Amino acid sequence: MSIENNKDNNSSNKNKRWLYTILNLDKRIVYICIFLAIALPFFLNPVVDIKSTKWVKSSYDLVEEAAQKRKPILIGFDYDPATLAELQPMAMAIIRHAFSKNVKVVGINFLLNGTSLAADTLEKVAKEYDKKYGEDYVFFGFLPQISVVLLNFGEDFRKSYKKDYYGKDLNEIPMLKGLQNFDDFHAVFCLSGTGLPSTYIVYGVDRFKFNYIAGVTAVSAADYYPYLQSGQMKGLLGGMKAAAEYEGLLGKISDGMRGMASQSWGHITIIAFIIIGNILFYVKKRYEDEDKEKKL
Amino acid sequence: MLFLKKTVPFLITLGMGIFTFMYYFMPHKMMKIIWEDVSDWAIIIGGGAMAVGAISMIRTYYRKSLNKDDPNRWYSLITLICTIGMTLIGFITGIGGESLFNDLFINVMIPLESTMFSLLAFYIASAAFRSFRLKSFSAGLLLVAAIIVMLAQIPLGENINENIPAISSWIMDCPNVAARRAILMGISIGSVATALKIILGIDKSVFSGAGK
Repeated sequence: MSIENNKDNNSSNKNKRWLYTILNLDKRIVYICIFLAIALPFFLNPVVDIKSTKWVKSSYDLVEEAAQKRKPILIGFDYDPATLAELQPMAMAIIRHAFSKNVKVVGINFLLNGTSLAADTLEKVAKEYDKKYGEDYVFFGFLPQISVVLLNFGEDFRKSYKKDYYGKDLNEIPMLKGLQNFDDFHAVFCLSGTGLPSTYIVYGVDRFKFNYIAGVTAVSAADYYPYLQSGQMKGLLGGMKAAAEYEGLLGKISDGMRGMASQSWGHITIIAFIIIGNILFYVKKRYEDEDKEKKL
Repeated sequence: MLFLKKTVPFLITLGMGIFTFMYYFMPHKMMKIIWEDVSDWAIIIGGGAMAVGAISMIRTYYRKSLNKDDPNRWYSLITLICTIGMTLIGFITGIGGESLFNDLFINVMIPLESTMFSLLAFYIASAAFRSFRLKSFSAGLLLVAAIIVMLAQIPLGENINENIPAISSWIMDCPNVAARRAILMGISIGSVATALKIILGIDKSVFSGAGK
Protein backbone atom coordinates (compact mmCIF):
# COMPACT_ATOMS: atom_id res chain seq x y z
CA MET A 1 0.00 0.00 0.00
CA SER A 2 2.74 2.40 1.00
CA ILE A 3 4.74 1.50 -2.14
CA GLU A 4 1.70 2.37 -4.32
CA ASN A 5 1.23 5.67 -2.47
CA ASN A 6 4.87 6.51 -2.99
CA LYS A 7 4.53 5.73 -6.72
CA ASP A 8 1.46 8.04 -6.95
CA ASN A 9 3.28 10.80 -5.10
CA ASN A 10 6.31 10.47 -7.36
CA SER A 11 4.26 10.73 -10.57
CA SER A 12 2.25 13.62 -9.12
CA ASN A 13 5.48 15.43 -8.18
CA LYS A 14 6.85 14.81 -11.67
CA ASN A 15 3.70 16.28 -13.24
CA LYS A 16 3.89 19.28 -10.91
CA ARG A 17 7.51 19.86 -11.84
CA TRP A 18 6.56 19.80 -15.53
CA LEU A 19 3.66 22.14 -14.90
CA TYR A 20 5.78 24.71 -13.07
CA THR A 21 8.52 24.44 -15.70
CA ILE A 22 6.01 25.33 -18.43
CA LEU A 23 4.31 27.99 -16.30
CA ASN A 24 7.67 29.65 -15.66
CA LEU A 25 8.68 29.30 -19.29
CA ASP A 26 11.49 31.65 -20.26
CA LYS A 27 10.07 34.75 -21.96
CA ARG A 28 12.60 34.33 -24.76
CA ILE A 29 10.96 31.06 -25.87
CA VAL A 30 7.62 32.89 -26.18
CA TYR A 31 9.39 35.64 -28.13
CA ILE A 32 11.03 33.13 -30.50
CA CYS A 33 7.64 31.47 -31.15
CA ILE A 34 5.97 34.78 -32.07
CA PHE A 35 9.01 35.84 -34.14
CA LEU A 36 8.85 32.63 -36.19
CA ALA A 37 5.06 32.88 -36.50
CA ILE A 38 5.38 36.36 -38.00
CA ALA A 39 8.61 36.05 -39.98
CA LEU A 40 8.22 32.66 -41.69
CA PRO A 41 4.85 33.37 -43.39
CA PHE A 42 6.52 36.18 -45.36
CA PHE A 43 7.88 33.36 -47.53
CA LEU A 44 4.38 31.95 -48.12
CA ASN A 45 1.99 32.98 -50.88
CA PRO A 46 -0.15 36.06 -50.07
CA VAL A 47 -3.68 35.45 -48.77
CA VAL A 48 -5.93 36.58 -51.61
CA ASP A 49 -9.34 35.18 -50.67
CA ILE A 50 -10.57 37.99 -48.43
CA LYS A 51 -14.19 39.09 -48.13
CA SER A 52 -14.66 42.84 -47.71
CA THR A 53 -16.52 44.14 -44.69
CA LYS A 54 -19.27 46.78 -44.74
CA TRP A 55 -17.16 49.78 -43.75
CA VAL A 56 -14.29 49.00 -46.13
CA LYS A 57 -16.79 48.58 -48.98
CA SER A 58 -18.43 51.93 -48.18
CA SER A 59 -14.97 53.61 -48.23
CA TYR A 60 -14.27 52.01 -51.60
CA ASP A 61 -17.66 53.11 -52.91
CA LEU A 62 -16.95 56.74 -51.99
CA VAL A 63 -13.86 56.76 -54.22
CA GLU A 64 -15.95 55.18 -56.98
CA GLU A 65 -18.53 57.97 -56.54
CA ALA A 66 -15.73 60.54 -56.67
CA ALA A 67 -14.74 59.11 -60.06
CA GLN A 68 -18.31 59.34 -61.30
CA LYS A 69 -18.73 62.93 -60.06
CA ARG A 70 -15.20 63.87 -61.24
CA LYS A 71 -14.36 65.30 -57.85
CA PRO A 72 -10.97 64.97 -56.10
CA ILE A 73 -10.32 63.32 -52.76
CA LEU A 74 -8.32 64.66 -49.83
CA ILE A 75 -6.00 62.34 -47.89
CA GLY A 76 -4.47 63.18 -44.52
CA PHE A 77 -1.24 61.15 -44.33
CA ASP A 78 -1.00 61.40 -40.55
CA TYR A 79 1.08 58.31 -39.83
CA ASP A 80 4.73 57.88 -38.96
CA PRO A 81 7.19 54.98 -39.35
CA ALA A 82 5.85 53.28 -36.19
CA THR A 83 2.46 52.56 -37.79
CA LEU A 84 3.75 52.39 -41.35
CA ALA A 85 3.27 48.60 -41.65
CA GLU A 86 -0.49 48.89 -41.17
CA LEU A 87 -1.27 52.27 -42.69
CA GLN A 88 1.06 52.46 -45.71
CA PRO A 89 -0.70 49.53 -47.52
CA MET A 90 -4.00 51.33 -46.89
CA ALA A 91 -2.67 54.62 -48.27
CA MET A 92 -1.26 52.90 -51.35
CA ALA A 93 -4.50 51.02 -52.03
CA ILE A 94 -6.58 54.22 -51.81
CA ILE A 95 -4.21 56.20 -54.06
CA ARG A 96 -4.04 53.29 -56.55
CA HIS A 97 -7.82 53.18 -56.61
CA ALA A 98 -8.07 56.94 -57.14
CA PHE A 99 -5.41 57.06 -59.88
CA SER A 100 -6.85 54.04 -61.68
CA LYS A 101 -10.17 55.92 -61.93
CA ASN A 102 -8.55 59.28 -62.76
CA VAL A 103 -9.59 60.77 -59.41
CA LYS A 104 -7.28 63.63 -58.41
CA VAL A 105 -5.64 63.45 -54.99
CA VAL A 106 -4.62 66.19 -52.57
CA GLY A 107 -2.43 65.18 -49.63
CA ILE A 108 -1.98 66.94 -46.29
CA ASN A 109 -0.04 66.02 -43.17
CA PHE A 110 -0.17 66.93 -39.48
CA LEU A 111 2.45 64.51 -38.17
CA LEU A 112 5.97 65.78 -38.78
CA ASN A 113 7.61 62.33 -38.94
CA GLY A 114 5.29 61.28 -41.73
CA THR A 115 5.84 64.15 -44.16
CA SER A 116 8.49 62.61 -46.40
CA LEU A 117 6.75 59.22 -46.14
CA ALA A 118 3.60 60.78 -47.59
CA ALA A 119 5.50 62.53 -50.38
CA ASP A 120 7.31 59.27 -51.26
CA THR A 121 4.09 57.22 -51.23
CA LEU A 122 2.30 59.64 -53.57
CA GLU A 123 5.32 59.77 -55.88
CA LYS A 124 5.70 55.98 -55.98
CA VAL A 125 2.06 55.27 -56.88
CA ALA A 126 1.96 58.21 -59.33
CA LYS A 127 4.86 56.62 -61.25
CA GLU A 128 2.90 53.33 -61.51
CA TYR A 129 -0.03 55.13 -63.16
CA ASP A 130 2.00 57.74 -65.03
CA LYS A 131 0.37 60.62 -63.13
CA LYS A 132 1.88 64.09 -63.04
CA TYR A 133 2.46 66.26 -60.01
CA GLY A 134 0.34 69.40 -60.10
CA GLU A 135 -2.08 67.95 -62.64
CA ASP A 136 -3.21 64.72 -60.99
CA TYR A 137 -2.00 65.06 -57.43
CA VAL A 138 -0.63 67.65 -55.04
CA PHE A 139 0.95 67.38 -51.61
CA PHE A 140 0.59 70.39 -49.30
CA GLY A 141 3.05 69.09 -46.71
CA PHE A 142 3.12 69.55 -42.95
CA LEU A 143 1.51 72.29 -40.87
CA PRO A 144 1.19 72.45 -37.09
CA GLN A 145 -2.06 73.39 -35.28
CA ILE A 146 -4.45 70.91 -36.85
CA SER A 147 -7.55 72.54 -35.33
CA VAL A 148 -6.82 75.94 -36.90
CA VAL A 149 -5.83 74.45 -40.25
CA LEU A 150 -9.00 72.33 -40.44
CA LEU A 151 -11.22 75.29 -39.54
CA ASN A 152 -9.50 77.30 -42.28
CA PHE A 153 -9.78 74.41 -44.74
CA GLY A 154 -13.54 74.61 -44.37
CA GLU A 155 -13.46 78.20 -45.66
CA ASP A 156 -10.47 78.28 -48.00
CA PHE A 157 -7.37 76.11 -47.68
CA ARG A 158 -5.24 78.93 -49.11
CA LYS A 159 -5.68 80.73 -45.76
CA SER A 160 -3.31 78.19 -44.18
CA TYR A 161 -1.45 76.73 -47.13
CA LYS A 162 0.33 79.31 -49.25
CA LYS A 163 2.85 76.90 -50.83
CA ASP A 164 2.98 73.14 -51.40
CA TYR A 165 5.53 70.69 -49.95
CA TYR A 166 8.01 71.52 -52.71
CA GLY A 167 7.69 75.29 -52.18
CA LYS A 168 5.51 76.00 -55.20
CA ASP A 169 2.83 78.70 -54.92
CA LEU A 170 -0.60 77.03 -54.73
CA ASN A 171 -2.05 79.57 -57.18
CA GLU A 172 0.40 78.35 -59.84
CA ILE A 173 -0.70 74.70 -59.57
CA PRO A 174 -3.22 73.95 -62.36
CA MET A 175 -5.00 71.12 -60.52
CA LEU A 176 -6.01 73.43 -57.67
CA LYS A 177 -7.89 75.91 -59.84
CA GLY A 178 -11.52 75.76 -58.78
CA LEU A 179 -10.73 73.99 -55.52
CA GLN A 180 -11.29 75.97 -52.34
CA ASN A 181 -12.56 73.98 -49.39
CA PHE A 182 -13.96 70.65 -48.15
CA ASP A 183 -17.07 71.07 -50.36
CA ASP A 184 -14.89 70.61 -53.45
CA PHE A 185 -13.68 67.18 -52.33
CA HIS A 186 -15.94 64.13 -52.56
CA ALA A 187 -14.26 62.32 -49.69
CA VAL A 188 -11.75 63.12 -46.98
CA PHE A 189 -9.50 60.35 -45.58
CA CYS A 190 -7.38 60.55 -42.45
CA LEU A 191 -4.85 57.74 -42.07
CA SER A 192 -3.37 57.76 -38.62
CA GLY A 193 -2.42 55.66 -35.63
CA THR A 194 -2.85 58.67 -33.31
CA GLY A 195 -5.96 60.52 -32.08
CA LEU A 196 -5.97 62.82 -35.13
CA PRO A 197 -8.95 61.12 -36.85
CA SER A 198 -11.15 62.35 -33.97
CA THR A 199 -9.83 65.90 -34.43
CA TYR A 200 -11.01 65.83 -38.06
CA ILE A 201 -14.51 65.10 -36.73
CA VAL A 202 -14.50 67.86 -34.11
CA TYR A 203 -13.07 70.65 -36.28
CA GLY A 204 -14.08 69.43 -39.74
CA VAL A 205 -16.99 67.04 -40.12
CA ASP A 206 -19.23 68.55 -37.43
CA ARG A 207 -18.97 72.01 -38.86
CA PHE A 208 -18.49 71.55 -42.61
CA LYS A 209 -20.31 68.22 -43.21
CA PHE A 210 -18.25 66.17 -45.65
CA ASN A 211 -17.81 62.46 -46.42
CA TYR A 212 -15.18 61.36 -43.95
CA ILE A 213 -13.32 58.06 -43.65
CA ALA A 214 -10.68 57.16 -41.08
CA GLY A 215 -7.92 54.64 -41.67
CA VAL A 216 -6.51 53.53 -38.33
CA THR A 217 -4.45 50.76 -36.74
CA ALA A 218 -6.34 47.60 -35.74
CA VAL A 219 -5.63 48.34 -32.06
CA SER A 220 -7.36 51.74 -32.19
CA ALA A 221 -10.22 50.80 -34.55
CA ALA A 222 -12.61 50.10 -31.65
CA ASP A 223 -12.42 53.79 -30.66
CA TYR A 224 -14.06 54.94 -33.88
CA TYR A 225 -17.22 52.81 -34.02
CA PRO A 226 -19.40 55.41 -32.23
CA TYR A 227 -18.66 57.86 -35.08
CA LEU A 228 -19.84 55.30 -37.64
CA GLN A 229 -23.16 54.84 -35.86
CA SER A 230 -23.69 58.59 -35.57
CA GLY A 231 -23.01 59.02 -39.29
CA GLN A 232 -20.04 61.34 -38.71
CA MET A 233 -17.82 58.77 -40.44
CA LYS A 234 -18.88 57.10 -43.68
CA GLY A 235 -16.26 54.38 -43.59
CA LEU A 236 -13.56 52.86 -41.43
CA LEU A 237 -10.39 51.05 -42.43
CA GLY A 238 -9.02 49.19 -39.42
CA GLY A 239 -5.55 47.66 -39.63
CA MET A 240 -3.85 45.56 -42.24
CA LYS A 241 -6.93 43.39 -42.79
CA ALA A 242 -8.81 46.46 -44.08
CA ALA A 243 -5.92 47.23 -46.42
CA ALA A 244 -6.04 43.64 -47.70
CA GLU A 245 -9.83 43.90 -48.14
CA TYR A 246 -9.39 47.14 -50.10
CA GLU A 247 -6.74 45.47 -52.28
CA GLY A 248 -9.19 42.60 -52.78
CA LEU A 249 -11.83 45.04 -54.04
CA LEU A 250 -9.23 46.63 -56.32
CA GLY A 251 -8.07 43.22 -57.52
CA LYS A 252 -4.42 44.04 -56.92
CA ILE A 253 -2.15 41.97 -54.67
CA SER A 254 0.07 44.21 -52.59
CA ASP A 255 1.50 44.68 -49.09
CA GLY A 256 -1.87 44.25 -47.30
CA MET A 257 -2.49 40.78 -48.76
CA ARG A 258 1.19 39.85 -48.37
CA GLY A 259 1.05 40.77 -44.68
CA MET A 260 -2.13 38.77 -44.03
CA ALA A 261 -0.30 35.42 -43.75
CA SER A 262 1.99 36.85 -41.05
CA GLN A 263 -0.91 38.50 -39.24
CA SER A 264 -2.90 35.23 -39.38
CA TRP A 265 -0.10 33.14 -37.88
CA GLY A 266 0.67 35.85 -35.31
CA HIS A 267 -2.96 35.87 -34.13
CA ILE A 268 -3.15 32.05 -34.09
CA THR A 269 0.01 31.89 -31.97
CA ILE A 270 -1.36 34.42 -29.47
CA ILE A 271 -4.70 32.55 -29.26
CA ALA A 272 -2.75 29.29 -28.72
CA PHE A 273 -0.77 30.95 -25.91
CA ILE A 274 -4.01 32.16 -24.27
CA ILE A 275 -5.52 28.65 -24.41
CA ILE A 276 -2.34 26.89 -23.17
CA GLY A 277 -1.89 29.49 -20.41
CA ASN A 278 -5.47 28.92 -19.19
CA ILE A 279 -5.23 25.11 -19.29
CA LEU A 280 -2.03 25.27 -17.21
CA PHE A 281 -3.69 27.73 -14.84
CA TYR A 282 -6.56 25.28 -14.23
CA VAL A 283 -4.27 22.29 -13.76
CA LYS A 284 -2.24 24.31 -11.27
CA LYS A 285 -5.40 25.32 -9.45
CA ARG A 286 -6.52 21.67 -9.26
CA TYR A 287 -3.17 20.60 -7.82
CA GLU A 288 -3.34 23.40 -5.25
CA ASP A 289 -6.89 22.34 -4.24
CA GLU A 290 -5.76 18.70 -3.92
CA ASP A 291 -2.82 19.76 -1.74
CA LYS A 292 -5.16 21.75 0.48
CA GLU A 293 -7.49 18.75 0.85
CA LYS A 294 -4.56 16.49 1.76
CA LYS A 295 -3.41 18.91 4.43
CA LEU A 296 -6.94 19.01 5.90
CA MET B 1 7.68 89.86 -13.19
CA LEU B 2 4.68 87.89 -11.92
CA PHE B 3 2.51 90.14 -14.12
CA LEU B 4 4.43 89.06 -17.25
CA LYS B 5 4.65 85.40 -16.25
CA LYS B 6 1.11 84.86 -15.01
CA THR B 7 -1.27 87.73 -15.75
CA VAL B 8 -0.34 88.40 -19.39
CA PRO B 9 -0.51 84.69 -20.44
CA PHE B 10 -3.83 84.44 -18.58
CA LEU B 11 -5.29 87.49 -20.38
CA ILE B 12 -4.13 86.15 -23.78
CA THR B 13 -5.62 82.72 -23.01
CA LEU B 14 -8.89 84.27 -21.83
CA GLY B 15 -9.18 86.51 -24.92
CA MET B 16 -8.26 83.77 -27.42
CA GLY B 17 -10.41 81.16 -25.70
CA ILE B 18 -13.51 83.34 -25.79
CA PHE B 19 -12.79 84.49 -29.36
CA THR B 20 -12.27 80.92 -30.71
CA PHE B 21 -15.42 79.75 -28.94
CA MET B 22 -17.44 82.63 -30.46
CA TYR B 23 -15.92 82.12 -33.93
CA TYR B 24 -16.80 78.41 -33.91
CA PHE B 25 -20.48 79.13 -33.25
CA MET B 26 -20.84 82.59 -34.88
CA PRO B 27 -18.85 82.77 -38.14
CA HIS B 28 -19.76 86.47 -38.69
CA LYS B 29 -17.86 88.40 -41.41
CA MET B 30 -16.10 90.59 -38.83
CA MET B 31 -15.05 87.51 -36.85
CA LYS B 32 -13.69 85.92 -40.04
CA ILE B 33 -11.46 88.92 -40.72
CA ILE B 34 -9.95 88.73 -37.24
CA TRP B 35 -9.75 84.92 -37.45
CA GLU B 36 -7.54 85.09 -40.58
CA ASP B 37 -4.83 86.98 -38.67
CA VAL B 38 -5.31 84.92 -35.54
CA SER B 39 -5.00 81.62 -37.42
CA ASP B 40 -1.76 82.80 -39.10
CA TRP B 41 -0.40 83.62 -35.66
CA ALA B 42 -1.51 80.27 -34.28
CA ILE B 43 0.44 78.42 -37.01
CA ILE B 44 3.51 80.65 -36.47
CA ILE B 45 3.37 80.04 -32.71
CA GLY B 46 2.96 76.30 -33.37
CA GLY B 47 6.17 76.32 -35.45
CA GLY B 48 7.89 78.43 -32.79
CA ALA B 49 6.85 75.96 -30.09
CA MET B 50 8.66 73.22 -32.03
CA ALA B 51 11.82 75.32 -32.08
CA VAL B 52 11.50 75.90 -28.31
CA GLY B 53 11.07 72.14 -27.84
CA ALA B 54 14.18 71.41 -29.92
CA ILE B 55 16.27 73.95 -27.98
CA SER B 56 15.01 72.59 -24.67
CA MET B 57 15.84 69.02 -25.76
CA ILE B 58 19.37 70.00 -26.86
CA ARG B 59 20.00 71.81 -23.54
CA THR B 60 18.76 68.85 -21.49
CA TYR B 61 20.79 66.25 -23.37
CA TYR B 62 23.87 68.50 -23.46
CA ARG B 63 23.77 68.73 -19.65
CA LYS B 64 23.18 64.96 -19.32
CA SER B 65 26.02 64.10 -21.69
CA LEU B 66 28.44 66.17 -19.58
CA ASN B 67 27.46 64.40 -16.35
CA LYS B 68 30.31 61.92 -15.83
CA ASP B 69 28.49 60.18 -12.94
CA ASP B 70 25.66 59.15 -15.26
CA PRO B 71 26.42 55.79 -16.92
CA ASN B 72 23.78 56.54 -19.57
CA ARG B 73 25.43 59.78 -20.69
CA TRP B 74 26.58 58.12 -23.95
CA TYR B 75 22.96 57.73 -25.04
CA SER B 76 22.45 61.46 -24.51
CA LEU B 77 25.56 62.14 -26.56
CA ILE B 78 24.32 59.91 -29.40
CA THR B 79 20.97 61.74 -29.36
CA LEU B 80 22.76 65.09 -29.59
CA ILE B 81 25.05 63.96 -32.41
CA CYS B 82 22.07 62.55 -34.37
CA THR B 83 19.98 65.70 -33.86
CA ILE B 84 22.74 68.07 -34.91
CA GLY B 85 23.90 65.75 -37.70
CA MET B 86 20.45 65.43 -39.25
CA THR B 87 19.88 69.20 -38.98
CA LEU B 88 23.17 69.96 -40.75
CA ILE B 89 22.56 67.33 -43.44
CA GLY B 90 19.07 68.79 -43.96
CA PHE B 91 20.49 72.30 -44.41
CA ILE B 92 23.28 71.15 -46.75
CA THR B 93 21.50 68.58 -48.95
CA GLY B 94 17.90 69.75 -48.59
CA ILE B 95 14.99 67.49 -47.57
CA GLY B 96 13.66 66.57 -51.03
CA GLY B 97 12.98 63.07 -52.36
CA GLU B 98 16.52 62.22 -53.45
CA SER B 99 18.47 64.04 -50.73
CA LEU B 100 20.79 62.36 -48.22
CA PHE B 101 18.47 63.60 -45.46
CA ASN B 102 15.55 61.69 -46.95
CA ASP B 103 17.70 58.59 -47.56
CA LEU B 104 18.76 58.59 -43.90
CA PHE B 105 15.16 59.04 -42.79
CA ILE B 106 13.89 56.19 -44.99
CA ASN B 107 16.75 53.77 -44.27
CA VAL B 108 17.49 54.51 -40.59
CA MET B 109 14.52 56.18 -38.95
CA ILE B 110 11.81 53.98 -40.48
CA PRO B 111 13.42 50.61 -39.54
CA LEU B 112 14.20 51.92 -36.03
CA GLU B 113 10.69 53.19 -35.30
CA SER B 114 9.04 50.16 -36.91
CA THR B 115 11.20 47.87 -34.77
CA MET B 116 10.21 49.72 -31.61
CA PHE B 117 6.51 49.42 -32.46
CA SER B 118 6.82 45.75 -33.47
CA LEU B 119 8.06 44.90 -29.95
CA LEU B 120 4.40 45.21 -28.99
CA ALA B 121 3.72 41.82 -30.64
CA PHE B 122 6.26 40.14 -28.35
CA TYR B 123 4.85 41.74 -25.20
CA ILE B 124 1.29 40.84 -26.20
CA ALA B 125 2.31 37.20 -26.79
CA SER B 126 4.06 37.03 -23.43
CA ALA B 127 1.12 38.70 -21.64
CA ALA B 128 -1.34 36.36 -23.38
CA PHE B 129 0.53 33.35 -21.99
CA ARG B 130 1.10 34.67 -18.47
CA SER B 131 -1.76 37.01 -17.59
CA PHE B 132 -4.87 36.47 -19.74
CA ARG B 133 -6.64 34.16 -17.26
CA LEU B 134 -10.22 32.94 -16.99
CA LYS B 135 -10.49 33.87 -13.31
CA SER B 136 -14.07 35.19 -13.23
CA PHE B 137 -17.20 35.53 -15.38
CA SER B 138 -16.26 39.02 -16.61
CA ALA B 139 -12.70 37.84 -17.39
CA GLY B 140 -14.30 34.99 -19.37
CA LEU B 141 -16.42 37.45 -21.37
CA LEU B 142 -13.32 39.49 -22.16
CA LEU B 143 -11.37 36.40 -23.16
CA VAL B 144 -14.08 35.06 -25.48
CA ALA B 145 -14.63 38.50 -27.03
CA ALA B 146 -10.88 38.92 -27.58
CA ILE B 147 -10.54 35.53 -29.30
CA ILE B 148 -13.55 36.18 -31.57
CA VAL B 149 -12.33 39.67 -32.56
CA MET B 150 -8.79 38.35 -33.16
CA LEU B 151 -10.12 35.53 -35.35
CA ALA B 152 -12.31 37.99 -37.29
CA GLN B 153 -9.21 40.09 -38.01
CA ILE B 154 -7.70 37.26 -40.05
CA PRO B 155 -9.11 35.40 -43.08
CA LEU B 156 -9.01 32.12 -41.13
CA GLY B 157 -11.86 33.36 -38.92
CA GLU B 158 -14.50 33.15 -41.63
CA ASN B 159 -13.11 29.76 -42.72
CA ILE B 160 -13.54 28.31 -39.21
CA ASN B 161 -17.11 29.59 -38.99
CA GLU B 162 -19.00 31.96 -41.28
CA ASN B 163 -20.58 33.65 -38.27
CA ILE B 164 -17.31 34.75 -36.64
CA PRO B 165 -17.06 38.04 -38.60
CA ALA B 166 -20.75 38.76 -37.89
CA ILE B 167 -20.31 38.11 -34.14
CA SER B 168 -17.17 40.27 -34.11
CA SER B 169 -19.09 42.99 -35.90
CA TRP B 170 -21.85 42.80 -33.26
CA ILE B 171 -19.27 43.01 -30.44
CA MET B 172 -17.76 46.13 -32.04
CA ASP B 173 -21.10 47.74 -32.93
CA CYS B 174 -23.00 47.14 -29.69
CA PRO B 175 -21.09 46.50 -26.44
CA ASN B 176 -17.99 48.30 -27.71
CA VAL B 177 -19.92 51.38 -28.88
CA ALA B 178 -21.89 51.54 -25.62
CA ALA B 179 -18.69 51.46 -23.57
CA ARG B 180 -16.81 53.85 -25.88
CA ARG B 181 -19.68 56.35 -25.84
CA ALA B 182 -19.73 56.40 -22.06
CA ILE B 183 -15.95 56.89 -21.99
CA LEU B 184 -16.10 59.59 -24.71
CA MET B 185 -18.80 61.49 -22.82
CA GLY B 186 -16.74 61.36 -19.65
CA ILE B 187 -13.61 62.55 -21.47
CA SER B 188 -15.53 65.33 -23.26
CA ILE B 189 -17.13 66.66 -20.07
CA GLY B 190 -13.72 66.52 -18.38
CA SER B 191 -12.09 68.32 -21.33
CA VAL B 192 -14.72 71.07 -21.30
CA ALA B 193 -14.28 71.52 -17.54
CA THR B 194 -10.47 71.66 -17.87
CA ALA B 195 -10.65 74.09 -20.82
CA LEU B 196 -13.04 76.37 -18.92
CA LYS B 197 -10.80 76.27 -15.83
CA ILE B 198 -7.80 77.36 -17.94
CA ILE B 199 -9.70 80.00 -19.97
CA LEU B 200 -11.25 81.55 -16.86
CA GLY B 201 -7.95 81.43 -14.95
CA ILE B 202 -9.19 79.07 -12.23
CA ASP B 203 -6.34 76.67 -13.07
CA LYS B 204 -3.13 78.66 -13.49
CA SER B 205 -0.76 75.70 -13.29
CA VAL B 206 -0.31 75.71 -17.08
CA PHE B 207 1.19 79.19 -17.11
CA SER B 208 4.88 80.00 -16.80
CA GLY B 209 6.65 79.15 -13.56
CA ALA B 210 4.27 76.36 -12.59
CA GLY B 211 5.75 73.86 -10.22
CA LYS B 212 8.75 76.04 -9.31
